Amino acid sequence: MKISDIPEKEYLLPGNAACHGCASSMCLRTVLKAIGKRTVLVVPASCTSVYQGMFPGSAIDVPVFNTVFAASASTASGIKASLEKKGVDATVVVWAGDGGTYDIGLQALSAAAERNEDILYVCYNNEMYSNTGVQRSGATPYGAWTTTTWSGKKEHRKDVAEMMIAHDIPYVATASAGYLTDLYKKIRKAKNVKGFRYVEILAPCPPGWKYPMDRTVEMGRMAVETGMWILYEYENGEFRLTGLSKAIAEGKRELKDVEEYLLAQGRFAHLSQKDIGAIREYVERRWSNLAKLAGGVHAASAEFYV
Amino acid sequence: MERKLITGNQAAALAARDSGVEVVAAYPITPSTPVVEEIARMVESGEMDARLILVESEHSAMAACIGASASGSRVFTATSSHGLAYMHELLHYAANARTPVVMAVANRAIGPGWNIWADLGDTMSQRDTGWIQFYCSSNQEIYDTVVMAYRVAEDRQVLLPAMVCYDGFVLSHTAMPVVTGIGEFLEEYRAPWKVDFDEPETFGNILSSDYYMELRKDVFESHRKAIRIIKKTEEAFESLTGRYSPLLLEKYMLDDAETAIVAIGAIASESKIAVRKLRRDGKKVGLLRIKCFRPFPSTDVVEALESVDTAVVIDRSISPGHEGQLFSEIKSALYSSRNRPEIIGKVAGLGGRDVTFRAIEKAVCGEFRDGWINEVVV
Amino acid sequence: MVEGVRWEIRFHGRGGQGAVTASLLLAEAAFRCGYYSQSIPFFGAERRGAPVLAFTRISEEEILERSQIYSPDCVIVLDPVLPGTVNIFSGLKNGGIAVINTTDAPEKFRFHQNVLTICTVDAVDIAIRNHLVVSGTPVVNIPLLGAFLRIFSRIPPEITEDVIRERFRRNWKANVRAMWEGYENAVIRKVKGSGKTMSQESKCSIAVRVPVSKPVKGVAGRTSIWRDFVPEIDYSRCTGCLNCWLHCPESAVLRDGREVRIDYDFCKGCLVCSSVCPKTAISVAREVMG
Repeated sequence: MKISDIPEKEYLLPGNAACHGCASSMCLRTVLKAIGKRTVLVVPASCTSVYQGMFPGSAIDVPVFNTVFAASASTASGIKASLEKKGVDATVVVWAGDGGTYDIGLQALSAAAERNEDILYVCYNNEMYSNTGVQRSGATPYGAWTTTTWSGKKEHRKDVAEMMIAHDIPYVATASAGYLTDLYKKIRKAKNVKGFRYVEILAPCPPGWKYPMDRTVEMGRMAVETGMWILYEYENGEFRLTGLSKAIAEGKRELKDVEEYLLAQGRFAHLSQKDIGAIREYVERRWSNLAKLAGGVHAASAEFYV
Repeated sequence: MERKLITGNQAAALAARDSGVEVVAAYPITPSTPVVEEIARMVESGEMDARLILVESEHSAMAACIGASASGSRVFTATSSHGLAYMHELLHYAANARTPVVMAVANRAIGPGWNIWADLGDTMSQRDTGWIQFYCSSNQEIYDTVVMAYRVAEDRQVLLPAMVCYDGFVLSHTAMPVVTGIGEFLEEYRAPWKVDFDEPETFGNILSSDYYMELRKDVFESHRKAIRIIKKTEEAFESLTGRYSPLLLEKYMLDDAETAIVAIGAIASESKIAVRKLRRDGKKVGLLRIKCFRPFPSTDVVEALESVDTAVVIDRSISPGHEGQLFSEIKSALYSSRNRPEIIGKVAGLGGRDVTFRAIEKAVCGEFRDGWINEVVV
Repeated sequence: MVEGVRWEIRFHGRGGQGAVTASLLLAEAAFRCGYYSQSIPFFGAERRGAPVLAFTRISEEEILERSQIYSPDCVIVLDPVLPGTVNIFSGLKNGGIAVINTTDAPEKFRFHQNVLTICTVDAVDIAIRNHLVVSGTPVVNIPLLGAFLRIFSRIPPEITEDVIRERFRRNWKANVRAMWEGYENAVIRKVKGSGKTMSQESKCSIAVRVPVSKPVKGVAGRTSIWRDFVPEIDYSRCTGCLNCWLHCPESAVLRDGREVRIDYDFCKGCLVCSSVCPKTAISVAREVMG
């Protein structure tokens, strides 16, 4: 796919209130282009509820429904049911952060997935509560500084995309702000799947991660290059690695060491070699877990990481 | 029109069906569970043409209701007690969002210790959320009030969500004769905001201090306007169905009364017996029943109580640190009245403690001086 | 202490420049000098880069006000671009002080007061030289505070130095240096204004029923004022690969087929476009006022 294939039409209008170099606004632009005009966007409390701008204006040029923090999946369920009842054809999309997905909104998300609601749930994961000024979330990686983990988070993150696989919904995918054409393709695919779909995007955040604002795309790529973020799809019960993660698993590309990625971010500046070692071990463990899911051609991917 | 012996919960479910509800999202909790069960049965059998979303919590139930209502459907849900408390955040949201959701609430106490029985404390503690609140005294009223609640809530001058409250078990599980059928009383719901892809709009983004106060003021003014709409709805319902179901308040033998009992919910029905008994004993007693607690019909309350010497207000709930909520509101309404009666507050029936007409009689005759009707007088 | 001292200071900045911190540091320094003081952050809903306000009150007597400052004795303007977009002089007392982060001379500013003391300093330059840049935004608050202390002699700079040292434990040396550079490089002049009277704007209210908004370009204003750095496309090297267009978080790279151009009304200057350009065809310059 070429970049020029992506539609010119903008649904996220210029002059919004996102921070400089925001990965969330960058990815939302791509997601809306992929789905198009007949989108209903459901947004819980998050950075997006702020950067869409203030009444009486809005930066988003599709119907948007703002809802409370814990209830995006259930609000979307209500909207979808209502539109179906009225015979209105629309893709109902939740656009939520990791706080609203991993933590406070998890119950509603899990239930909507279990009911197999016809919703596309997109989580832009910036690995913390950015909107309230950088606090830890269930998606914050081990060792990361936040304003509620001053000396670094003591636990590894959980993985909601894998939880969604356990829900056996029709489509699960991971993407990264470093690979927008890949994101575009996955959203296009998700759009045409019936039932509950979950796409999670790694969305680096310059002020929260503490890196210069022009390096957002680079951070999104380094995360994949170092194995900290793994690109995959789960479709109709089948799991497969995609993009660079697939190339890495197949030995076509070499995995970079996580240290390079970690030290590019101020939030990891305090890490000791022991901490970095713990993160290396975590990355290794995740690869081997996913390799088990992948089976077949990717079975060897557990061993390549040494 | 059909007449049958049904419970309060069944009455609520049938009213939702007959109101042409399109989306229901609900979660079970005693004692309102049978409402959801009955709706599920009717939806599965095709008796009710609605989408039923069986969510995982009351929080999600109300969120789904708000989403469905905002995108154009007539919606319904039911809950009680802890479930209502769990919805709290979204109760505020529904009012500010101007989504005319109608919800049946089978009133129940809140723990600990676990208590599943009647107590109006669950809805009373939601009185400031911006919802309209009706309190029923019979199963017929539950049916009629759900139907009328849609007409009030969806009126363009009102556009507010409404709770139809009824004492748990006392009404929710008690079978009584109910006439069903509403004819052409309700029109199709037309939402003030809809999903439009050609002229898209954003619902509920940030409202700065330049605007938020105006939004709240409009919610406030709409409550005031609702009083008139409620009176009109009550009249329209009666002329169409032939059934008189008080929607704002009810006066019973109050014209020449020297003492008024002021009550709400099931206790108000029981109070009518006490009035009759006391009248037989030569005491000039009447009843003022508050049906609509929000908006509070202050002007009508003043008019009804100005000529009595004493008003005995009975609450089935309590605001710790102060007094019964109904007692507070009645006093507040009468503050500016020149002929203010003596107003006495009594608390009764918390956590389902039975309230008999004999107990009410004794309360009116000056017993229970500490304000607590804590004896089941048989 | 001098009798009847009462000062009200309004800070104008953009998110990330440190206006709120500057207001707090000043209040803390005044507090240590024996004054009653108050620091009020005004949090809008916007992100980093959007215009923000903060207020400091310094008084000999207990301060009872809880409202914002409308007629300040002094305004401190952290942003070099803001003077062209918002009225930083609004409500400022005649004969008052304006401390402005700019490369311009004091005489260049126009205002409605009869006379003001204008104090200018190139705080961006000081911040960059002292490596006080966070996520790409120069943090200019401390040099401006230094410039303010040149005029406001009631607080000795040494006290402020202590406050800075305690606040910035890791990075205090660079901040203290920046404060002194601001102090020393401040250019102070009395400047005459137009002397016209200006009516204070009062806000009118409109009825709000259903809280629904319409899509609009520039919902957060002309966001070009958030810019510290400007990207420029060298078309001789542009191959039309569209990477800048695809990755712009602002929809501020406009595209017509394979041709791109930057929408300078809304470009916030994040420079993602420059970083993703495979031909390094997008150069970067420092934003200047005008």
